[in-house]
Amino acid sequence: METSPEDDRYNCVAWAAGDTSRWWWPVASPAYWPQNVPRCEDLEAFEKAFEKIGYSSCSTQEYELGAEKVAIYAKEGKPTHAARQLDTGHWTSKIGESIDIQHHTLSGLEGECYGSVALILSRSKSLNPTSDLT
Amino acid sequence: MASSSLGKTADVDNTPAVAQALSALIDRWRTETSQISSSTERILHPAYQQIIGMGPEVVPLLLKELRDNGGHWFWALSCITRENPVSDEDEGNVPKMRDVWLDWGKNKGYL
Repeated sequence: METSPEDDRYNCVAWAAGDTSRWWWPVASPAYWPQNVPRCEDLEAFEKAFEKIGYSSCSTQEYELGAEKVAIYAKEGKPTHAARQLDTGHWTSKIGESIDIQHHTLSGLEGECYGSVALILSRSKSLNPTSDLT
Repeated sequence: MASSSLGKTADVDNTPAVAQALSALIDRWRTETSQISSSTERILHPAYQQIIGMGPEVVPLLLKELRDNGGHWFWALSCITRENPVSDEDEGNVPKMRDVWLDWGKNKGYL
């Protein structure tokens, strides 16, 4: 289900991080990447990027009251996409520079384009340090 | 007459063939990468690489495309011109990067 029109100011990683002001990617500058996080296209770097805004590795994609979750997709170990969980338990994704969509499951976006879910991260809903990013 | 030196704009001849070829590549790139978030995949797309390969004569056209239709042409412009007017703090801020490159283009006489 489409939830927002296309917008090339931000991508899926930015959307998952709650930032609609910048395009996030570790390499192929000029894209934004959190300071002091390795500019590498691997899951470790993505995990560190989200750790900067309070997330940590999580073992389940199931909805948990009081927690915000992000899922990172990867193909052959390289991150391709990020999605963020909503209060409904469903997920929201920005499709490249195209639209935002809502999807019931993470598996709905798995496949040729994005690969499969490789990492789940969560943080307490009381945290919102995106504005502290530099 | 096409110029072979970066920065010289008075004699750049943006022939219809060049503009048409660029337009086709831009359309293809937009269509085939609109759903991709990876900046790496986007710039390594064959159409984007071919745009870079067209060299300095497309700089004014690319700047006009940026001005009129937006798009992430920053990497291509930087590769072709070997310049990067975008500051570290503005990296990823697409509207700001667009403005910075358009100002660069005006200062160089491309726009």
